[in-house]
Amino acid sequence: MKIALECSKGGHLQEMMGLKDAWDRFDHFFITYDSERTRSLDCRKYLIEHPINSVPRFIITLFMALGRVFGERPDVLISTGMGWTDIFMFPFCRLMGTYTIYIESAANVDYITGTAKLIRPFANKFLVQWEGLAESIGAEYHGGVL
Amino acid sequence: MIFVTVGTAEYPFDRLLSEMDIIASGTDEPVVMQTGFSDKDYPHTEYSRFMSEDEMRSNYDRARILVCHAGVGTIMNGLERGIPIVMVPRRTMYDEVDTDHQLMIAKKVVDMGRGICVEDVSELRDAIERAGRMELSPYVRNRELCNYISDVLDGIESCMEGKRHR
Repeated sequence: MKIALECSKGGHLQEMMGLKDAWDRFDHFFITYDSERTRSLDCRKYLIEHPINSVPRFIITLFMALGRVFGERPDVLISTGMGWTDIFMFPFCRLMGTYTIYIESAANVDYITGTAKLIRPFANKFLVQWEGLAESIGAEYHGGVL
Repeated sequence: MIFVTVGTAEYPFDRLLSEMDIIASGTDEPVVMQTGFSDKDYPHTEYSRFMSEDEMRSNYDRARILVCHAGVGTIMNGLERGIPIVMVPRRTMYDEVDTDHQLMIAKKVVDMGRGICVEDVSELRDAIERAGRMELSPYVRNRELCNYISDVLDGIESCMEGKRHR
């Protein structure tokens, strides 16, 4: 079984690493934004330019990554949040028959992000990390990284 | 040693860093700072805009107190070391962040009894003193989410194997 791990750099990457015991035993690759830290990840990775640096570079590297993901044909996609990339990656992966799991960041305690709302219809599993939030929006809650 | 980190988000956080430089000038305790997207100098501290993973890990390990923006990754690192966390949430009104979500997570850490939240940096010195007096029990990581994801993945794999054998 092959797993695509999608996350922004910084805290979202840290949260994904907090779940390492769950995914590390499977064949996996990362889809994440380019940074010093993500460049040194010790596994297959497809790095996308963060849109805040350059929108044209973001679009080019996003489509390159989508092509690579198509080649990989992952069975599962897990995301801890990657903003604009999620918006493309989730529908794309669902079309390929990938099982998609979205985990909203622990940073979002009282409400979910705009991105999360947009991709929710494309997530087979939609999880938040705070029980009160899960109750208020009808999402799943199974603990959090904190 | 007091370790100060503002994360790698593409916004400066000079409000916190400037105050810490002032505090550092009045103490013998070393203050090490990861300053991120800041162009300023902080001469009373040992600072660097970005640090390697190893340097960051070493600084977290050596820190008596963590002073930081209220980012989840940073907070996770502080919690794991069992050290008091003094958080100054980044604010949109100072152009330090794109949304004011950091206030929410800072409050949660305070509710957990593992940190202090400071919104006005003039209160930072006092907060650091109070943090130094906090007695924290060892931090036990919540494994529930990790275990749940593990179970979900096992389930999917079993399903796939079931289909292959048919």
